[in-house]
Amino acid sequence: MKNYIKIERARHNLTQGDLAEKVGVSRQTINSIETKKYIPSAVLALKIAKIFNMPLDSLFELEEHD
Amino acid sequence: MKTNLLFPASFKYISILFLATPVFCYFFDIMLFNNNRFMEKTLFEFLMSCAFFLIVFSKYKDDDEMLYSIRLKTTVYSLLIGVFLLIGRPLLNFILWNQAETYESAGSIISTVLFFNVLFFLRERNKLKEALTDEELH
Repeated sequence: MKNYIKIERARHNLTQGDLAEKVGVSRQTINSIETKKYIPSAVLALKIAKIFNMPLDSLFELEEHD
Repeated sequence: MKTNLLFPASFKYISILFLATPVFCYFFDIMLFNNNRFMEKTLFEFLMSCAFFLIVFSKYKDDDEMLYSIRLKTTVYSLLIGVFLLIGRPLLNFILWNQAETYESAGSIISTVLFFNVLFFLRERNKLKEALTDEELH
């Protein structure tokens, strides 16, 4: 699953640590999501989308093999 | 994701106590069990199993849903090793060396499964830490 967290994070001038703290997970988790090693739960995805104030489907996108 | 099913983080300190038992096992062996190897082995396996169980299933300070999912994944992998020990090894013994009667104690299988669980979990956790880059914004 493709995501635009890294781009949005840079746009909002947030570090991985800042975002992790805001959504209540570790920095490793944010890093793993950005590098597509981990697919977040719906709750976490919604929390991240809320931080960036954008709809979920604009932040996460299904890829062909998903 | 809530991680309520896990033990509190302080339980990991108890596991250190359990891991320090080989020394005590040796002491028990001399003092209590009169060199009863079976009792010694059983006690050793029990305490080791408790220690490994507490290491994996107690919370870390940065515990979250990803660590929770890693725990589940490593538990499945280690269970596969347990299945191999229980079914695969006796079967291989029978097929390759024609040894039909091979017994493996439940304690030994459980402690091995939990040992591999700890090993896989710590390896995955370490990999995550290594993957962290200093470059955060770009």
